[in-house]
Amino acid sequence: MTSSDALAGHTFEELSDYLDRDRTPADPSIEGSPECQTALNGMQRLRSVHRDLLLKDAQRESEREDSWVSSILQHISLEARAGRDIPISHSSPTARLSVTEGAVRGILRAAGDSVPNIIVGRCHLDGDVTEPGAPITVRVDATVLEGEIIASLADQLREALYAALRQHTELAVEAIDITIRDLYQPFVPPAKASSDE
Amino acid sequence: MSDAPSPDPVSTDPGTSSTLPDRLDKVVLAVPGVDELYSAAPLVAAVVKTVIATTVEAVTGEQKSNSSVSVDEKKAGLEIAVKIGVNAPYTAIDVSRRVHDAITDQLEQNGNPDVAEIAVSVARID
Repeated sequence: MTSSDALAGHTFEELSDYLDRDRTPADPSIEGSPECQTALNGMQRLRSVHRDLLLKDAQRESEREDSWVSSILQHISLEARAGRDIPISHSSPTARLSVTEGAVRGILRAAGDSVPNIIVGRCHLDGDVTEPGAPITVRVDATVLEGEIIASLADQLREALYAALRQHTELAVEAIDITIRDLYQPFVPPAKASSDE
Repeated sequence: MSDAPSPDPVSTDPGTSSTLPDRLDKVVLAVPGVDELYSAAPLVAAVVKTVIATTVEAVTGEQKSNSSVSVDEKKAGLEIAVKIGVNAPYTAIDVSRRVHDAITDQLEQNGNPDVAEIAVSVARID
């Protein structure tokens, strides 16, 4: 991550270390930044849901240059940036209501994490989201558990993403394109030696 | 016609120590679904403002306003900016509208000043 990619002046590594320290001592420049909070929440969710997979992936990271976990963590951090303002309508002429693109990508990722056996990677909103009614295509990359029926999981993910967008935005979503980039293997815990032996 | 001056909408309210931005902070935080109020100013400016307010209070005992809602007086009227986090299952659409309406109600109670813009930005949804 370059310094220009940093969130509120913090790199992905700094946010990850902050999470490792259980967010103590509290850093006002992180806690006061909605972008940092969105990134931290995404990282925390990924860690809690896929803790075992993360450990496994970290162990073999040196053998693979394209660690999907690293890639997802980088995307969480990059996509938490505020980005464009997505308008919300109001009858008052003095009202200017909006939700940030970063917040919307955060809810897309959260919705994706609610679908079992699929992990959302990159999320992208294609189209002029700042223009009310403009057609938007959502593009999402994901990783799926090996052995699952990909079409069925993609349908579940698409439905969850549509629901989240309908709930929080007035975007005119034309399509949600999902690309499965990778498969991950189920985590099998190592057999424990019997304490009786 | 009364000769009484109309109340200054931004300055300290007579009888209380709070300014309009301070009061708007409370109004916004009371809206259901708002779980965080962020400084509407850029982050660096917000951190500097907090440090100054804390230092002044420690040295002089005088309480400095450290409000998150931004209120600017412009020729066309007040420009008010708010940045919030929304707590799901509340929706960003409903909460941002309620925040706008709550600010409008508060302004009506505060002399009904001219308003150029009320900007509400949902910066995080959990």
